[in-house]
Amino acid sequence: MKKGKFLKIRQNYFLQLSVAFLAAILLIMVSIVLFEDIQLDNTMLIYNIFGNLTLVGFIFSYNLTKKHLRSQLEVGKTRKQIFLNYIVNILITLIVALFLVAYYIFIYKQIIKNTSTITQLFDMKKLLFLPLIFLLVSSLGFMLGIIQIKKKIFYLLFTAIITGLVIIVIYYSIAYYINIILLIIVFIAIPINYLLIINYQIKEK
Amino acid sequence: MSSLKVDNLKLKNYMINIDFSDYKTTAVWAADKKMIDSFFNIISGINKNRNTCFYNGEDIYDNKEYFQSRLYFDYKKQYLSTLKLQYLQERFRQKYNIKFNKEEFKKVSETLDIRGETELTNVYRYTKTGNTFVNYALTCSLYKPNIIINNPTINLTIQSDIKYIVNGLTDKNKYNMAVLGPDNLAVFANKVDKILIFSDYDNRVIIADNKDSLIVFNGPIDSAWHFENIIYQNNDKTIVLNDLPRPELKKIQKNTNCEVISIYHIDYYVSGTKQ
Repeated sequence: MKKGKFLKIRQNYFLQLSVAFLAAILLIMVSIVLFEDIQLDNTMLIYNIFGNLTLVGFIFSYNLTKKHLRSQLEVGKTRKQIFLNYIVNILITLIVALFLVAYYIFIYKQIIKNTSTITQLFDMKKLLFLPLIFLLVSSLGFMLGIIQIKKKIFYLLFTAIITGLVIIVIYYSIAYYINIILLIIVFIAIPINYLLIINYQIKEK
Repeated sequence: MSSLKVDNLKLKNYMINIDFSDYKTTAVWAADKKMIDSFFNIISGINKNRNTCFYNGEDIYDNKEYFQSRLYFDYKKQYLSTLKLQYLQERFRQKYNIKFNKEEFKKVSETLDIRGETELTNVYRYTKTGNTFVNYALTCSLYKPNIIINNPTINLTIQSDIKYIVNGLTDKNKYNMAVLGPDNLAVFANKVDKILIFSDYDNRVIIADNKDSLIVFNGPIDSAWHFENIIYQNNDKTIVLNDLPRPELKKIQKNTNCEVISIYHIDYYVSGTKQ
């Protein structure tokens, strides 16, 4: 195969994502057996998936509005397009993560605990809480980038949020009404972010 | 023909009216360079213009049609972190839905010897000159008929490089509209159609012709002369657009200590680099 063609295939995002996705599925399969061998909490992997997603979502959203907004506008993307792409990216990421989690739950139930029901094995309130937190934290990152908050403050906030979330997830149980409140906040945050990006005045450097 | 029109735009204390379809190439000059940046942010549709800037009759703010046809670069900034052409082509297609002309980029980078201005470690690091070259090559390789370029020759010292970039940016066959914010106006002598000047004196916007000249006076000028287009004034000098009839100019030259200069040399006098 010619080098140029190989490069073209290697740089294809769809292919890269597919490979990463297949690798994730394989790793989940292997980890289920390994985690069971060392008697690890069965939800650890789910926390891990959403934990990483929340970290990445927070930083990605912040960087998009703080660092890349101006250059994207300069090259020729409108604010509406940037926001729509952002929402689509976040939703695709969430759907992929939800699929991985669903796959994990399914495999776990099939291989390890075939006799119990899913609700007996997993805390569904927490499973709803985690994706909502991802959406909320991403929206927060987006807002912090738009208001051009300094990097140091951002990372302090970042550390505080992550620590707080880890404590909540490990030590507290989540009531359904908290999830409903989170959902409402997410629905409010999305139009606020849209208004912020549409009205934000790019400063001279 | 597509056109950009600015109609009663109020920016700081300036009121701006200009129809860019009248001129293919326009240079913008201001003593305060931030002013140019603010103006470009508005005419590129990035910042709000309060319904005063139009492209084909439509407000340009966040206007998709206008954004697809224009490119706004400040050559001071770094836009590319790699020179891998295949990667760039894919990236521009996927992220911006823009065609990136690999061959054009390669041609320009070979002419300007971009590789010679690039240090390749785990990342691509350009010299300041190299960054301007890369930005110019990128401008050429994206198919955009309207360009707005700030600091087009920044960090360039070699005359042949400057000439190459100036000729490219002012090529009327290539671009429908080019609005430039030259860091060095002198190198654009006779290459632009009009010069839009933000007067530092009375917050007026002056549109000067490419053949116009300026009169530089030592110190403030006599208020009895009633110059209409004063461009710049400080304690040492006053610079005015020369719109006087020849006999009147001769009279003033006889009676005062003044100098007539090309409009393109204004930077030398404002910055004080002219001895």
